[in-house]
Amino acid sequence: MPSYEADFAEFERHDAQVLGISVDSIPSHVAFAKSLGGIEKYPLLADFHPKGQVSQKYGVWIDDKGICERAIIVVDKEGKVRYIDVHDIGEQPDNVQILDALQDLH
Amino acid sequence: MLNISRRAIPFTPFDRELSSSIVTIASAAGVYGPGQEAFPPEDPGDISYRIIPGDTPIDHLKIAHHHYEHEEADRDPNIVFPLQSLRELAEEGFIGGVNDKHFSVGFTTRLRELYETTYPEIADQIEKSRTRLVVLTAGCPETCHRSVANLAREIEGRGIPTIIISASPAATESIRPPRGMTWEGVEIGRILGKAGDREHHKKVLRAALQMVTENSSPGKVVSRPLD
Repeated sequence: MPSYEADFAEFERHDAQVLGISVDSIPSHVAFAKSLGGIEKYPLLADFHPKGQVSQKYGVWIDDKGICERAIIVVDKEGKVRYIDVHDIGEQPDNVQILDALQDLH
Repeated sequence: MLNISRRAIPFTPFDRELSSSIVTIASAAGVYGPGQEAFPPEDPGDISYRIIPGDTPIDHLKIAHHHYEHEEADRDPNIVFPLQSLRELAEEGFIGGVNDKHFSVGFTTRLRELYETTYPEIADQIEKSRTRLVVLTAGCPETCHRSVANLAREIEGRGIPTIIISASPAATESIRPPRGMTWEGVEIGRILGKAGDREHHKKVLRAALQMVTENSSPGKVVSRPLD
């Protein structure tokens, strides 16, 4: 998450709104952001109640674990999903891949 | 912070002789010197940095970093911060000299502040020194290896060639560094090799410095043989 904060200007140049979302509660998000030294540039959203409803709609809900996949999803201004990357919890895709996906929207 | 696209790679050709070049170390391995404050032992860390004088005895350096195993580096900091090996290469005439200041950061997740504040400050100081080449190392396999690649980009953008010695090539390469090298057998916390093996440390350093003279392909971490 800090790398999206660090590259925020890059996302802004592509007129992209960054959102962080997980199935944790708002207090949990607040604690998480604090542990990272603060996430100031973009909002964190809680897909907490009904739990995982948004994750299910994007196809990244893991039913038996009650959590969502770690994924990056690019949605265009018409609401159409244009890019999905689902990856292991220990991996972090190169932000350049996301920027490439954003450029493809232009 | 270097204001170019993440997709662009800043690259400054090295058009000098190593034997006349002053070299500086910049590292994200949590090294600090005598009389200096240790880096914070917990997340999110901080964005401060330490200036390590070039004549600091290697066994006077300490490490504070909670995201990689540095027990061996505690015994021989040269394996993550190769100041002693650099001095030896200067004595041998392989490089022109060792800068009087070297730079060190610890672990932090406050990356935006680090990139916007700390790294430009470090790059400013390097730019205003006699440095002609910067060697970079990192501690933990993800955040630090990505972070130090951003520092390399910042320094390179000021017109000073850099080389990262990486123990985590995928993480380093993901940031599109100007130059990166790795070697077979490298490990996190043992960037230059095992504690005390000075000859091996110098081999790694020589291979890294030699790579700079070849102006290899930017954005890649290249595995180099050790002669």
